[in-house]
Amino acid sequence: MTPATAENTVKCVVWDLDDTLWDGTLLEGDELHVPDANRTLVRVLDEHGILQSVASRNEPGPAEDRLRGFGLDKYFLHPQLGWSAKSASLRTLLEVLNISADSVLFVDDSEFERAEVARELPEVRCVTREKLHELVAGGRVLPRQVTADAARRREMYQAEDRRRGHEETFQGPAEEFLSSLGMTLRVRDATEGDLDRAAELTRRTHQLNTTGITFDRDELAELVRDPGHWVIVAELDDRFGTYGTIGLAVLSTGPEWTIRLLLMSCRVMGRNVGTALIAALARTAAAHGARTVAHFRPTDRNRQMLVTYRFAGFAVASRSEDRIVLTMPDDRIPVVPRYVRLVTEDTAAVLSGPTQGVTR
Amino acid sequence: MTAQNAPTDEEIVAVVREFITRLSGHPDIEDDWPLISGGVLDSIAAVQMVDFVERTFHVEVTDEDLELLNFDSVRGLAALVTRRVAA
Repeated sequence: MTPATAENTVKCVVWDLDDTLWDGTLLEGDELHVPDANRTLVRVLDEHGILQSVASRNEPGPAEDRLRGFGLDKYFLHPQLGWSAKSASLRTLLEVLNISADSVLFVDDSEFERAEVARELPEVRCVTREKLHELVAGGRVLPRQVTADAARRREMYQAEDRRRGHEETFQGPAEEFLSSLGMTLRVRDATEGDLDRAAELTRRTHQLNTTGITFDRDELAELVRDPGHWVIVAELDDRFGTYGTIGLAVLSTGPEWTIRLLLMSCRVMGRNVGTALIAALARTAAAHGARTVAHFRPTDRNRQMLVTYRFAGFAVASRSEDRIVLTMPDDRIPVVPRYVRLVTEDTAAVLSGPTQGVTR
Repeated sequence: MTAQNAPTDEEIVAVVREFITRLSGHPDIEDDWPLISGGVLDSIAAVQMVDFVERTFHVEVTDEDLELLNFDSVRGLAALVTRRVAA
Protein backbone atom coordinates (compact mmCIF):
# COMPACT_ATOMS: atom_id res chain seq x y z
CA MET A 1 0.00 0.00 0.00
CA THR A 2 0.98 3.59 -0.58
CA PRO A 3 1.47 5.79 2.45
CA ALA A 4 -0.57 8.97 2.73
CA THR A 5 1.32 11.90 1.30
CA ALA A 6 0.30 15.47 0.65
CA GLU A 7 -1.05 14.47 -2.76
CA ASN A 8 -2.61 11.37 -1.38
CA THR A 9 -4.64 12.69 1.52
CA VAL A 10 -6.97 10.42 3.45
CA LYS A 11 -10.48 11.85 3.30
CA CYS A 12 -12.44 8.87 4.50
CA VAL A 13 -11.87 5.79 6.65
CA VAL A 14 -14.29 2.91 6.06
CA TRP A 15 -14.50 0.43 8.92
CA ASP A 16 -15.49 -3.19 8.96
CA LEU A 17 -17.34 -3.96 12.23
CA ASP A 18 -16.72 -7.53 13.47
CA ASP A 19 -13.24 -7.92 14.95
CA THR A 20 -12.30 -4.55 13.49
CA LEU A 21 -14.26 -1.67 15.00
CA TRP A 22 -15.38 -3.96 17.80
CA ASP A 23 -14.01 -7.24 19.13
CA GLY A 24 -16.35 -10.19 18.56
CA THR A 25 -18.81 -11.25 15.86
CA LEU A 26 -22.35 -9.92 16.05
CA LEU A 27 -23.94 -12.79 14.12
CA GLU A 28 -22.39 -15.39 16.40
CA GLY A 29 -23.90 -13.80 19.49
CA ASP A 30 -20.50 -12.81 20.91
CA GLU A 31 -20.27 -10.24 23.63
CA LEU A 32 -19.09 -7.21 21.67
CA HIS A 33 -16.55 -4.74 22.94
CA VAL A 34 -15.11 -1.60 21.33
CA PRO A 35 -11.47 -1.19 22.41
CA ASP A 36 -10.76 2.25 23.88
CA ALA A 37 -8.06 2.83 21.27
CA ASN A 38 -10.65 2.45 18.51
CA ARG A 39 -13.15 4.68 20.26
CA THR A 40 -10.51 7.38 20.64
CA LEU A 41 -9.34 6.98 17.07
CA VAL A 42 -12.87 7.37 15.69
CA ARG A 43 -13.22 10.63 17.61
CA VAL A 44 -9.77 11.92 16.60
CA LEU A 45 -10.36 11.19 12.92
CA ASP A 46 -13.71 12.98 13.14
CA GLU A 47 -12.22 16.05 14.80
CA HIS A 48 -9.64 16.24 12.04
CA GLY A 49 -12.26 16.35 9.31
CA ILE A 50 -11.76 12.80 8.11
CA LEU A 51 -15.09 11.24 7.15
CA GLN A 52 -15.90 7.74 8.34
CA SER A 53 -18.27 5.03 7.28
CA VAL A 54 -18.86 1.34 7.72
CA ALA A 55 -18.82 -1.59 5.30
CA SER A 56 -19.93 -4.73 7.10
CA ARG A 57 -21.69 -7.96 6.21
CA ASN A 58 -24.41 -7.91 8.83
CA GLU A 59 -28.14 -7.47 9.22
CA PRO A 60 -28.62 -3.68 9.02
CA GLY A 61 -31.03 -3.42 11.98
CA PRO A 62 -29.00 -5.20 14.70
CA ALA A 63 -25.69 -3.68 13.53
CA GLU A 64 -27.17 -0.17 13.66
CA ASP A 65 -28.58 -0.90 17.11
CA ARG A 66 -25.15 -1.90 18.38
CA LEU A 67 -23.47 1.18 16.86
CA ARG A 68 -26.09 3.31 18.60
CA GLY A 69 -25.62 1.39 21.81
CA PHE A 70 -21.89 2.15 21.71
CA GLY A 71 -22.70 5.83 21.05
CA LEU A 72 -20.76 5.72 17.78
CA ASP A 73 -23.56 5.82 15.18
CA LYS A 74 -23.33 9.59 14.63
CA TYR A 75 -19.74 9.30 13.38
CA PHE A 76 -20.51 7.07 10.39
CA LEU A 77 -22.01 8.47 7.20
CA HIS A 78 -24.19 6.20 5.09
CA PRO A 79 -23.21 2.91 6.79
CA GLN A 80 -23.14 0.05 4.30
CA LEU A 81 -24.66 -2.91 6.11
CA GLY A 82 -25.85 -5.97 4.21
CA TRP A 83 -24.58 -8.85 2.17
CA SER A 84 -23.08 -7.26 -0.90
CA ALA A 85 -19.36 -7.41 -1.70
CA LYS A 86 -17.25 -4.87 0.21
CA SER A 87 -16.07 -3.39 -3.07
CA ALA A 88 -19.72 -2.68 -3.98
CA SER A 89 -20.25 -1.01 -0.60
CA LEU A 90 -17.16 1.12 -1.20
CA ARG A 91 -18.32 2.08 -4.68
CA THR A 92 -21.59 3.29 -3.21
CA LEU A 93 -19.72 5.36 -0.63
CA LEU A 94 -17.43 6.92 -3.23
CA GLU A 95 -20.51 8.06 -5.05
CA VAL A 96 -22.64 9.36 -2.18
CA LEU A 97 -19.71 11.09 -0.50
CA ASN A 98 -18.32 12.30 -3.82
CA ILE A 99 -14.73 11.33 -3.05
CA SER A 100 -12.07 9.53 -5.05
CA ALA A 101 -10.90 5.97 -4.37
CA ASP A 102 -7.33 7.05 -3.62
CA SER A 103 -8.56 9.14 -0.68
CA VAL A 104 -10.10 6.15 1.10
CA LEU A 105 -8.64 3.85 3.75
CA PHE A 106 -10.51 0.57 4.15
CA VAL A 107 -10.01 -1.22 7.46
CA ASP A 108 -10.85 -4.91 7.73
CA ASP A 109 -9.47 -7.84 9.73
CA SER A 110 -10.24 -10.27 6.90
CA GLU A 111 -7.49 -10.83 4.39
CA PHE A 112 -10.10 -12.12 1.97
CA GLU A 113 -12.13 -8.89 2.12
CA ARG A 114 -9.06 -6.68 1.80
CA ALA A 115 -7.95 -8.67 -1.24
CA GLU A 116 -11.41 -8.44 -2.83
CA VAL A 117 -11.44 -4.64 -2.45
CA ALA A 118 -7.82 -4.33 -3.59
CA ARG A 119 -8.66 -6.31 -6.72
CA GLU A 120 -11.82 -4.35 -7.58
CA LEU A 121 -10.69 -0.91 -6.44
CA PRO A 122 -6.89 -0.89 -6.62
CA GLU A 123 -6.64 2.75 -5.54
CA VAL A 124 -8.34 2.15 -2.20
CA ARG A 125 -5.77 1.52 0.51
CA CYS A 126 -6.68 -1.62 2.47
CA VAL A 127 -5.30 -2.09 5.97
CA THR A 128 -5.81 -3.97 9.21
CA ARG A 129 -6.79 -1.96 12.27
CA GLU A 130 -3.30 -2.45 13.72
CA LYS A 131 -1.86 -0.90 10.57
CA LEU A 132 -4.37 1.97 10.76
CA HIS A 133 -3.32 2.79 14.34
CA GLU A 134 0.30 2.61 13.26
CA LEU A 135 -0.25 4.97 10.30
CA VAL A 136 -2.08 7.50 12.44
CA ALA A 137 0.58 7.36 15.15
CA GLY A 138 3.23 7.82 12.47
CA GLY A 139 1.58 11.04 11.25
CA ARG A 140 0.53 9.54 7.91
CA VAL A 141 -3.21 10.08 8.14
CA LEU A 142 -4.17 13.23 10.03
CA PRO A 143 -3.82 16.58 8.25
CA ARG A 144 -1.32 18.97 9.80
CA GLN A 145 -3.77 21.86 9.81
CA VAL A 146 -7.46 21.64 10.57
CA THR A 147 -9.66 24.53 9.47
CA ALA A 148 -12.88 25.25 11.33
CA ASP A 149 -14.77 23.93 8.32
CA ALA A 150 -12.78 20.70 8.27
CA ALA A 151 -13.47 20.08 11.95
CA ARG A 152 -17.22 20.12 11.26
CA ARG A 153 -17.09 18.38 7.88
CA ARG A 154 -19.07 15.34 8.99
CA GLU A 155 -21.81 17.52 10.49
CA MET A 156 -21.94 19.50 7.25
CA TYR A 157 -22.48 16.30 5.25
CA GLN A 158 -25.26 15.25 7.60
CA ALA A 159 -26.91 18.69 7.39
CA GLU A 160 -26.69 18.57 3.60
CA ASP A 161 -28.36 15.14 3.52
CA ARG A 162 -31.30 16.40 5.61
CA ARG A 163 -31.47 19.57 3.51
CA ARG A 164 -31.54 17.63 0.25
CA GLY A 165 -34.37 15.47 1.56
CA HIS A 166 -36.33 18.62 2.36
CA GLU A 167 -35.57 20.18 -1.04
CA GLU A 168 -36.64 17.07 -2.94
CA THR A 169 -40.01 16.92 -1.21
CA PHE A 170 -40.71 20.66 -1.06
CA GLN A 171 -43.41 21.95 -3.38
CA GLY A 172 -44.06 25.62 -3.83
CA PRO A 173 -42.49 28.79 -5.17
CA ALA A 174 -38.76 29.50 -4.85
CA GLU A 175 -39.18 32.09 -2.15
CA GLU A 176 -41.31 29.86 0.04
CA PHE A 177 -38.59 27.22 -0.17
CA LEU A 178 -35.92 29.77 0.74
CA SER A 179 -38.06 31.02 3.64
CA SER A 180 -38.53 27.46 4.86
CA LEU A 181 -34.76 27.08 5.32
CA GLY A 182 -34.46 29.76 8.02
CA MET A 183 -31.10 31.04 6.77
CA THR A 184 -28.70 33.19 8.78
CA LEU A 185 -25.75 34.81 7.00
CA ARG A 186 -22.91 35.90 9.29
CA VAL A 187 -20.50 38.43 7.85
CA ARG A 188 -17.34 39.17 9.81
CA ASP A 189 -13.76 40.36 9.47
CA ALA A 190 -11.45 37.58 8.34
CA THR A 191 -9.04 36.48 11.04
CA GLU A 192 -5.89 34.37 11.05
CA GLY A 193 -7.95 31.21 11.47
CA ASP A 194 -9.93 31.90 8.29
CA LEU A 195 -7.01 32.32 5.94
CA ASP A 196 -6.56 28.70 4.84
CA ARG A 197 -10.22 28.32 3.99
CA ALA A 198 -10.28 31.78 2.34
CA ALA A 199 -7.30 30.96 0.13
CA GLU A 200 -8.92 27.62 -0.74
CA LEU A 201 -12.10 29.44 -1.78
CA THR A 202 -10.18 31.70 -4.18
CA ARG A 203 -8.62 28.64 -5.83
CA ARG A 204 -11.73 26.48 -6.02
CA THR A 205 -14.57 28.89 -6.75
CA HIS A 206 -15.15 29.71 -10.40
CA GLN A 207 -18.85 30.10 -11.00
CA LEU A 208 -19.89 32.48 -8.22
CA ASN A 209 -16.73 34.54 -8.48
CA THR A 210 -16.69 38.18 -9.61
CA THR A 211 -13.07 38.59 -10.71
CA GLY A 212 -11.30 35.25 -10.28
CA ILE A 213 -8.36 36.86 -8.47
CA THR A 214 -6.59 34.23 -6.41
CA PHE A 215 -4.76 35.04 -3.20
CA ASP A 216 -2.56 32.66 -1.28
CA ARG A 217 -2.52 32.53 2.50
CA ASP A 218 0.33 35.02 2.90
CA GLU A 219 -1.21 37.54 0.52
CA LEU A 220 -4.49 37.35 2.40
CA ALA A 221 -2.70 37.72 5.73
CA GLU A 222 -1.10 40.90 4.40
CA LEU A 223 -4.43 42.28 3.20
CA VAL A 224 -6.02 41.54 6.58
CA ARG A 225 -3.25 43.60 8.26
CA ASP A 226 -3.38 46.39 5.65
CA PRO A 227 -5.52 49.32 6.88
CA GLY A 228 -6.31 50.12 3.24
CA HIS A 229 -8.12 46.81 2.80
CA TRP A 230 -11.07 45.04 4.33
CA VAL A 231 -11.28 41.26 4.09
CA ILE A 232 -14.46 39.58 5.20
CA VAL A 233 -15.70 36.02 5.32
CA ALA A 234 -19.32 34.90 5.37
CA GLU A 235 -20.81 31.84 7.01
CA LEU A 236 -24.25 30.48 6.27
CA ASP A 237 -26.44 28.40 8.59
CA ASP A 238 -29.96 27.16 8.16
CA ARG A 239 -32.26 25.00 10.23
CA PHE A 240 -30.52 21.87 8.97
CA GLY A 241 -27.10 23.00 10.17
CA THR A 242 -24.17 24.96 8.86
CA TYR A 243 -22.87 25.33 5.29
CA GLY A 244 -19.57 26.48 6.79
CA THR A 245 -17.54 29.40 5.48
CA ILE A 246 -19.06 30.00 2.07
CA GLY A 247 -18.17 33.56 1.14
CA LEU A 248 -15.17 35.83 0.86
CA ALA A 249 -14.82 39.47 -0.14
CA VAL A 250 -11.74 41.63 -0.50
CA LEU A 251 -12.31 45.38 -0.59
CA SER A 252 -9.90 48.28 -0.88
CA THR A 253 -11.10 51.07 1.36
CA GLY A 254 -10.75 54.86 1.11
CA PRO A 255 -13.04 57.56 -0.28
CA GLU A 256 -14.54 54.75 -2.33
CA TRP A 257 -14.74 51.14 -1.21
CA THR A 258 -13.96 48.82 -4.11
CA ILE A 259 -15.01 45.19 -4.03
CA ARG A 260 -11.99 43.66 -5.79
CA LEU A 261 -13.17 40.13 -5.24
CA LEU A 262 -16.42 38.64 -4.08
CA LEU A 263 -17.07 34.94 -4.21
CA MET A 264 -19.47 32.39 -2.86
CA SER A 265 -19.03 28.63 -2.70
CA CYS A 266 -21.25 26.68 -5.10
CA ARG A 267 -22.64 24.99 -1.95
CA VAL A 268 -24.98 27.97 -1.70
CA MET A 269 -25.95 28.12 -5.37
CA GLY A 270 -29.62 29.07 -5.66
CA ARG A 271 -29.86 30.40 -2.10
CA ASN A 272 -29.72 34.05 -3.24
CA VAL A 273 -27.44 34.96 -0.35
CA GLY A 274 -25.06 36.88 -2.65
CA THR A 275 -27.57 39.71 -2.56
CA ALA A 276 -27.45 39.78 1.25
CA LEU A 277 -23.65 39.74 1.25
CA ILE A 278 -23.48 42.64 -1.21
CA ALA A 279 -25.99 44.53 0.91
CA ALA A 280 -23.82 44.00 4.00
CA LEU A 281 -20.75 45.37 2.18
CA ALA A 282 -22.48 48.39 0.61
CA ARG A 283 -24.22 49.33 3.86
CA THR A 284 -21.00 49.13 5.82
CA ALA A 285 -19.27 51.30 3.22
CA ALA A 286 -22.16 53.81 3.38
CA ALA A 287 -21.93 53.88 7.17
CA HIS A 288 -18.29 54.90 6.71
CA GLY A 289 -19.32 57.63 4.28
CA ALA A 290 -17.97 55.80 1.25
CA ARG A 291 -19.69 54.78 -1.95
CA THR A 292 -19.30 51.23 -3.15
CA VAL A 293 -17.58 50.29 -6.37
CA ALA A 294 -17.32 46.74 -7.70
CA HIS A 295 -15.05 45.15 -10.24
CA PHE A 296 -16.25 42.36 -12.47
CA ARG A 297 -14.14 40.30 -14.84
CA PRO A 298 -16.32 38.20 -17.14
CA THR A 299 -15.52 34.53 -17.71
CA ASP A 300 -17.65 31.96 -19.49
CA ARG A 301 -19.04 30.79 -16.15
CA ASN A 302 -19.60 33.73 -13.83
CA ARG A 303 -22.38 35.81 -15.39
CA GLN A 304 -24.58 34.94 -12.40
CA MET A 305 -22.45 37.27 -10.28
CA LEU A 306 -22.87 40.16 -12.73
CA VAL A 307 -26.63 39.58 -12.54
CA THR A 308 -26.37 39.63 -8.74
CA TYR A 309 -24.53 42.98 -8.78
CA ARG A 310 -26.93 44.48 -11.31
CA PHE A 311 -30.06 43.27 -9.50
CA ALA A 312 -28.66 44.63 -6.24
CA GLY A 313 -28.64 48.05 -7.88
CA PHE A 314 -25.09 48.44 -9.22
CA ALA A 315 -24.85 50.33 -12.52
CA VAL A 316 -22.16 49.83 -15.16
CA ALA A 317 -19.82 52.83 -14.86
CA SER A 318 -17.09 51.90 -17.30
CA ARG A 319 -15.59 48.96 -19.06
CA SER A 320 -12.24 48.02 -20.47
CA GLU A 321 -11.19 44.99 -22.41
CA ASP A 322 -11.38 42.56 -19.52
CA ARG A 323 -13.03 44.48 -16.71
CA ILE A 324 -16.35 46.12 -15.91
CA VAL A 325 -16.49 48.75 -13.18
CA LEU A 326 -19.83 49.03 -11.43
CA THR A 327 -20.98 51.65 -8.96
CA MET A 328 -23.80 51.77 -6.49
CA PRO A 329 -25.84 54.96 -7.04
CA ASP A 330 -25.76 57.21 -3.96
CA ASP A 331 -29.52 57.06 -3.55
CA ARG A 332 -29.76 53.28 -3.50
CA ILE A 333 -29.54 51.13 -0.42
CA PRO A 334 -29.27 47.47 -1.37
CA VAL A 335 -31.93 45.20 -0.06
CA VAL A 336 -31.49 42.12 2.10
CA PRO A 337 -33.96 39.44 0.95
CA ARG A 338 -36.55 38.84 3.65
CA TYR A 339 -35.71 35.13 3.90
CA VAL A 340 -32.11 35.78 5.02
CA ARG A 341 -31.26 36.98 8.51
CA LEU A 342 -28.10 39.04 8.16
CA VAL A 343 -25.73 39.25 11.12
CA THR A 344 -22.68 41.49 10.85
CA GLU A 345 -20.15 42.84 13.30
CA ASP A 346 -20.98 46.34 12.12
CA THR A 347 -24.63 46.17 13.17
CA ALA A 348 -25.16 49.94 13.03
CA ALA A 349 -24.51 49.90 9.31
CA VAL A 350 -26.92 47.09 8.67
CA LEU A 351 -29.71 48.48 10.82
CA SER A 352 -29.59 51.67 8.78
CA GLY A 353 -31.03 49.92 5.74
CA PRO A 354 -34.32 48.21 4.99
CA THR A 355 -34.70 44.47 4.80
CA GLN A 356 -37.01 44.48 1.82
CA GLY A 357 -38.34 46.89 -0.77
CA VAL A 358 -36.31 49.15 -3.02
CA THR A 359 -35.46 52.44 -1.34
CA ARG A 360 -34.69 55.58 -3.26
CA MET B 1 -34.50 41.37 -40.47
CA THR B 2 -37.60 42.14 -42.53
CA ALA B 3 -41.08 42.80 -41.20
CA GLN B 4 -42.30 39.50 -42.66
CA ASN B 5 -40.09 37.13 -40.73
CA ALA B 6 -39.62 39.09 -37.52
CA PRO B 7 -41.77 37.67 -34.72
CA THR B 8 -44.72 39.79 -33.70
CA ASP B 9 -45.03 41.17 -30.18
CA GLU B 10 -47.76 38.63 -29.47
CA GLU B 11 -45.56 35.77 -30.67
CA ILE B 12 -42.72 36.95 -28.46
CA VAL B 13 -44.99 37.17 -25.42
CA ALA B 14 -46.35 33.66 -26.12
CA VAL B 15 -42.88 32.10 -26.44
CA VAL B 16 -41.59 33.87 -23.33
CA ARG B 17 -44.69 32.90 -21.33
CA GLU B 18 -44.31 29.27 -22.31
CA PHE B 19 -40.66 29.29 -21.24
CA ILE B 20 -41.39 30.96 -17.89
CA THR B 21 -44.20 28.49 -17.27
CA ARG B 22 -41.80 25.63 -17.82
CA LEU B 23 -39.04 27.24 -15.75
CA SER B 24 -41.29 28.00 -12.78
CA GLY B 25 -43.45 24.89 -12.92
CA HIS B 26 -46.36 27.27 -12.35
CA PRO B 27 -49.26 26.46 -14.72
CA ASP B 28 -50.99 29.85 -14.95
CA ILE B 29 -48.35 32.59 -14.97
CA GLU B 30 -49.84 36.03 -15.58
CA ASP B 31 -47.88 38.33 -17.86
CA ASP B 32 -47.33 41.03 -15.25
CA TRP B 33 -46.62 38.87 -12.20
CA PRO B 34 -43.42 39.85 -10.43
CA LEU B 35 -41.36 36.71 -10.88
CA ILE B 36 -38.11 37.34 -9.04
CA SER B 37 -39.13 40.11 -6.61
CA GLY B 38 -42.35 38.18 -6.04
CA GLY B 39 -40.46 35.01 -5.20
CA VAL B 40 -41.81 32.81 -8.02
CA LEU B 41 -38.26 32.37 -9.36
CA ASP B 42 -34.84 32.87 -7.79
CA SER B 43 -32.25 35.11 -9.39
CA ILE B 44 -30.40 32.16 -10.96
CA ALA B 45 -33.42 31.95 -13.24
CA ALA B 46 -32.35 35.29 -14.75
CA VAL B 47 -29.24 33.65 -16.20
CA GLN B 48 -31.42 30.91 -17.68
CA MET B 49 -33.71 33.56 -19.15
CA VAL B 50 -30.74 35.31 -20.76
CA ASP B 51 -29.55 32.04 -22.32
CA PHE B 52 -33.04 31.24 -23.52
CA VAL B 53 -33.81 34.55 -25.27
CA GLU B 54 -30.33 34.76 -26.78
CA ARG B 55 -30.70 31.30 -28.31
CA THR B 56 -34.35 31.51 -29.28
CA PHE B 57 -34.46 35.00 -30.77
CA HIS B 58 -30.80 35.29 -31.86
CA VAL B 59 -30.35 38.53 -29.97
CA GLU B 60 -27.65 39.69 -27.59
CA VAL B 61 -28.52 40.61 -24.03
CA THR B 62 -25.97 43.19 -22.90
CA ASP B 63 -24.67 43.82 -19.40
CA GLU B 64 -26.75 47.02 -19.33
CA ASP B 65 -29.86 44.94 -20.01
CA LEU B 66 -29.36 42.98 -16.78
CA GLU B 67 -31.88 45.15 -14.93
CA LEU B 68 -34.31 43.45 -12.60
CA LEU B 69 -37.15 45.16 -14.49
CA ASN B 70 -36.25 43.26 -17.67
CA PHE B 71 -36.46 39.86 -15.97
CA ASP B 72 -39.12 40.32 -13.35
CA SER B 73 -42.17 39.53 -15.50
CA VAL B 74 -43.21 37.88 -18.74
CA ARG B 75 -44.10 41.33 -20.05
CA GLY B 76 -40.73 42.80 -19.06
CA LEU B 77 -38.74 40.02 -20.68
CA ALA B 78 -40.89 40.10 -23.83
CA ALA B 79 -40.38 43.87 -24.05
CA LEU B 80 -36.63 43.40 -23.78
CA VAL B 81 -36.72 40.84 -26.61
CA THR B 82 -38.89 43.16 -28.74
CA ARG B 83 -36.37 46.00 -28.29
CA ARG B 84 -33.44 43.74 -29.10
CA VAL B 85 -35.12 42.16 -32.14
CA ALA B 86 -35.86 45.62 -33.50
CA ALA B 87 -32.34 46.90 -32.81
